[in-house]
Amino acid sequence: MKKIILLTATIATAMWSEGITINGSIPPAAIVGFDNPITENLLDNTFTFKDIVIDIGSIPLGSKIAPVTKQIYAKTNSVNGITMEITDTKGWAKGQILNEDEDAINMKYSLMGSSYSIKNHPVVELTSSTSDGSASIGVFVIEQKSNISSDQPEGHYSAVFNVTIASQ
Amino acid sequence: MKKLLSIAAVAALFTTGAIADTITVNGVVLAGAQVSFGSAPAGTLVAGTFAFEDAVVGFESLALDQDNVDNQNVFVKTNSNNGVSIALGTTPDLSDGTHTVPTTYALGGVDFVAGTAQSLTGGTNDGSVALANQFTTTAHPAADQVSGAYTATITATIAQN
Repeated sequence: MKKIILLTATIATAMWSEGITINGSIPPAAIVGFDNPITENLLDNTFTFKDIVIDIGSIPLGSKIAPVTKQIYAKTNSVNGITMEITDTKGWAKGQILNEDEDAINMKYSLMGSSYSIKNHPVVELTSSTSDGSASIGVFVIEQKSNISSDQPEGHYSAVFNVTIASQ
Repeated sequence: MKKLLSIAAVAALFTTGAIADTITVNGVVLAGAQVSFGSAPAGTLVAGTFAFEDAVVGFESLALDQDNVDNQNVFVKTNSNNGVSIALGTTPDLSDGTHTVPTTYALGGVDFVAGTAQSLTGGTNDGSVALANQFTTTAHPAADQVSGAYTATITATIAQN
């Protein structure tokens, strides 16, 4: 009889604790642009690069332009920061600018202080944490790879790159 | 199971949702040209400059009462996609200061009219080979043309087509 009473008491103590859990989340977002501080508001879960047209001007025959430097501004609430990836819309290209006949002028680029290969399009960290967009966080630089020919065909040369901004 | 679904939903919420935007890089190469007679242009192209290298066309001696013809090979170096043209400011007769010898100028057999351009090339040209069309000067002295040294100076203007 004594043994039976002890067993009942053990079962009674194995009770579950119940409660209410409230979860919420703030999605990350970012706006990145060149030249000017970012004043726009972030949009939930949206990572935007502000389209830009960079005019490197007239390229002297048999010579090079001076490097063109663009300041980078980023506003993000991503606690781990954001990255930037640049790809050529032609896919196969190495970042050349081309005229309508596809004569090429070879260019080179650097992003955040390091050489950037458009062909390999590495993902580069812009920030490692949140950023309010008020100050430049680095630079994007465009240079000619070498002097153009002294009889380089005239015309307008251009390239369009896709930019992908993502959170880390 | 319910917990697993919740975790998946949160993970999806934090997925980057990346959007591709663009950088456009624009540059321009200006056109230039060098045109010469007799041999390939000596100079290199200068952007925005269309130059004619001064030339002297010399007749050894002008035969009386007949056409005296001088043909010059024309060389063009240009990076102009549409090519270049040449215009003569005037088409003067040879003169000794008092007397004149009727003179005409032509490119590929087409006589020049002062101030009217004729196309040399329709596209880029590296200047290494003479054009098919020659520059021809034709002078026809009279049978009793007064002897002496006759000359004419012409301004040639090279322009982009």
